[in-house]
Amino acid sequence: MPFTFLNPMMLFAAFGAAVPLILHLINMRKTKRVFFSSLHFLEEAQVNRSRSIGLRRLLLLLLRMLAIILLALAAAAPRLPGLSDNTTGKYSLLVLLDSSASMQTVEEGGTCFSYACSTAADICRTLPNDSEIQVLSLGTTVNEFFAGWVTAGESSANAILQLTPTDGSANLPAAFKQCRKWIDQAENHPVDILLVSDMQFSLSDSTVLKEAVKELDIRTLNAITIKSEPADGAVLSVGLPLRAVVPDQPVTITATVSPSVKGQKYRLELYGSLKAQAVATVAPGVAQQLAFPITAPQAGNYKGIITSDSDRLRIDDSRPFVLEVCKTINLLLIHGQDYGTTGRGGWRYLETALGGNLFNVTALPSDKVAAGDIATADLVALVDPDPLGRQILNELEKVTTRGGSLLLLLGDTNRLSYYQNTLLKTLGQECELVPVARSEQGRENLTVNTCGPVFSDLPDAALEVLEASIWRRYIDVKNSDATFEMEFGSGSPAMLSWSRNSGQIILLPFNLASAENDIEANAMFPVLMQRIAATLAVGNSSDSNPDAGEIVTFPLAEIAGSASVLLEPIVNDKPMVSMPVNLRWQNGVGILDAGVVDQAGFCWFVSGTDTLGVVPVTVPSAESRNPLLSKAEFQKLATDAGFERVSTLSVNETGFIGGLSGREMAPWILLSCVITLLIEGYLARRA
Amino acid sequence: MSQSILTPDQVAKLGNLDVIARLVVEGFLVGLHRSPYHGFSVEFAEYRQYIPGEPATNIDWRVFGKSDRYYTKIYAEETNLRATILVDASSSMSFKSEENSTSKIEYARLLAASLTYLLLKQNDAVGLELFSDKQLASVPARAVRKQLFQVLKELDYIPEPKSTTSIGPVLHKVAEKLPRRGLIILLSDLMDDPDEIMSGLKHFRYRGHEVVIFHLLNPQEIEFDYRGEARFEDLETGSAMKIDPTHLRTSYREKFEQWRTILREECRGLKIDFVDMTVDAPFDRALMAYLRKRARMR
Repeated sequence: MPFTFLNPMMLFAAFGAAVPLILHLINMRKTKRVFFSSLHFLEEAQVNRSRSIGLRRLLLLLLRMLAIILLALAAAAPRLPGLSDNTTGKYSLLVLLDSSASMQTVEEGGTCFSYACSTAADICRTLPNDSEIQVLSLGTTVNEFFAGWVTAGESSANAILQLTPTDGSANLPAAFKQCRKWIDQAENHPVDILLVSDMQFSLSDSTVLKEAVKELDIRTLNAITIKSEPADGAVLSVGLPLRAVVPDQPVTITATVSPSVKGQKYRLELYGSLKAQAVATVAPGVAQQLAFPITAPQAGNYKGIITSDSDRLRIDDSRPFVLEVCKTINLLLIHGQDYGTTGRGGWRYLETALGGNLFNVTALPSDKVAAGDIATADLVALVDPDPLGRQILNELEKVTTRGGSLLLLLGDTNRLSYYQNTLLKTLGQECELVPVARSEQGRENLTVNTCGPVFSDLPDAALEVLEASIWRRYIDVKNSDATFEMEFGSGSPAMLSWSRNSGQIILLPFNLASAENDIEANAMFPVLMQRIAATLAVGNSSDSNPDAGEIVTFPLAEIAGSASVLLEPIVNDKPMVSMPVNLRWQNGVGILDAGVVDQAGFCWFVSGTDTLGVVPVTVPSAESRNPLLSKAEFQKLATDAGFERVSTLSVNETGFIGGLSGREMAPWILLSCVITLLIEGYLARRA
Repeated sequence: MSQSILTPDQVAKLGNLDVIARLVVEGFLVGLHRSPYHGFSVEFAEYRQYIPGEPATNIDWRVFGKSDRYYTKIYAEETNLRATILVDASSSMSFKSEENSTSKIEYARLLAASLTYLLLKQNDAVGLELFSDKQLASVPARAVRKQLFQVLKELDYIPEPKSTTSIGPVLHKVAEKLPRRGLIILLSDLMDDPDEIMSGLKHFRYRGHEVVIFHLLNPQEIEFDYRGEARFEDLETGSAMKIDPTHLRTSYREKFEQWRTILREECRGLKIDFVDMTVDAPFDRALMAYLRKRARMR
């Protein structure tokens, strides 16, 4: 409703506008009769009159009606509603200040964030007496700036200017959830919510936002848009080798970039040393994948960065990563007992297939394996194991908790019940293992899912050979929710993968030990196994890197004294920050928890002088990629979320404060009425 | 000049035309400082004691010699004027307004009676011609006392006006009928073709008559100060038109004034006295106009 009325009953007075109309009609009907000496002169005068008299009289009638309507309207005391639903004159203003990475975009006169802070501070200064204010910093996590509601004024305004931005995303649903708490503690109701933002939000699920808004009692949202143009030039993501890398191996690291100019150069640096360069060839704002071919250095973990000359938003022009180069991968192969010469013992094919420079294979029968063996292995493979003890099963689960991986080759039809009900259940896979009838154990080709990490860059020629190779199917895996990486020709899965905790598990329902198998004769078996093992052993998963604003953790192989985190920002002029870490236990594994890290960079987990590990923290790619919402788009977003009145303002702080309480319209309407009457008087005189 | 004590409206209510005429004229004469019409005839009327300030030439020295007192001789004036009052009794003359309830014909009637009384009192011969589009009544001019009643009788029985004005032909007829030079007093609103009116008036002038026109109008005809839309009906032709007077007022006034100016100028050219009279004007003005004319004719 555009207007509210203090005396709405007075609107009925507008029916008084019918009075001039009625008089007009009566006058038209009741014309008085005048006898005049001679019409001669009147006839002469009439000729010179224009025909506009009728129109003028109609205009006069309309003006009179308008004047009466305006008078009635003025008497009803209309009021243009303000931005606030609060009519007490004392406000509780909850400012949601966008502190996401995109707010660091440099505009004329400073960053969007500094402008947002000064706008919020000025609003704080100019709020009416006895008003209170609270500021929520809107990053990936939402933090209140003041411990509680504070009185608006100079001191709180100066404090707001001390706010610092984060490198995370603006988490709008979390902000509205936080609002609930502060609304309950406010003195002046209804509370006014003011969002100060560049309107760049990453909302993957709108229902979360709806849920958050639903919990609020408030249905009015005011937003001040900090105008900003999208800043291009960002490094949106980094693609690291999907399989383990060994020293001197030629590898290609890829990066998806969005250049700000055509021909923009991007550099790949390892420990600050330039290793490769690539040039973007697409138009500004278009995403392009660049390849950086390098030769893997000596074994170790390398902090790397793909960077470019900064444009207006520096923080997303560099993207950190950690490249792990392995010398060898310690593979623990747990197998079952042999059945004489006719069964089991197929694990030796795997041992042979993986034997070489990269893998250091230790084969242990199920009953000989110890928990310590599993803990120190880089990769654990189980080939038709005999039933394992609970301790061993727990240790296998811990592997996944630490981010490690498991390779399962299960084909012994005599153990299917144990595998299905115990082993796979422990490892988070609820599926059904069904032996294939002997009559159906045909020889089948494979179909490969090339989207998975195992086969993603397999050369076409190798892929053709692999798919042309013949395999025998012994077990059907049914009702599994795991990803099918490879299938038999019949459609039954030949390779499944799933995640467990932080780790990855691959299951191959292969019977290596069967006398009728073809493994020995299959030339692709060693290739396939090496590829799978190398994929599972790799620690270079850029997808798993935390974004700024998220909790950064590091799993501990062993506990060694106290630890802390040093955050090395990717923007050079920012100082290195030391942060405490907490040690917590998850499934029996020690996790170093640095808490929420809201800046992009490298988190060095250190203990004394030892470096335990490094975790790259990246800027959410959505901060670079998402288009800024227009006012209309934001209004739709907020309305869809459940707000009934959404005002998007490009006003300064004076406009906001002035607009809070609304405006009395009666004086203006009265003025209009007077003007109407003056016009009416003038026209009447002329007539 | 004295101011009439009674307004035309009040006078009209008195009813008896004889009384009205006498009242008007006597009141008028009493108001004059001096009567210029005594003492200029050859026929002796009476003696009157000399009042210091009077010209000494009027003193009768013979009487002074006998009685040692100053007396002046008063002479009764001999009439040599033959006046005919023409009264327009057409329909347009019946017009009256809300502000002035005296119609033009009523005013003309009173004025004609007053003039007759005054003229007869001056021993002038007075006649009356009533007309609309034709002659309605005619009283030949005579200077006898009884003439007053003849004239008043005709004025009393002016028929209800139901005709259009046609002044020109009537003036021609009257001009032909009147035997010798005299004074023509026309009481009319002249709502007719100015050319025809002037043609008739020229005829009078050709026959050696002096003409005084009392142009009788209602103030509303001049001001046209009506309010609100109304249906205006012509009293003579019966035609009607629906207008809003406020829209036409200015234009009407211009046209009306233009017409009056034409009449005035034309009359001036014919050496005709043209006296604008409105029905709210006191009769003195008309009587004085007559007396002035009378003086010039001496």
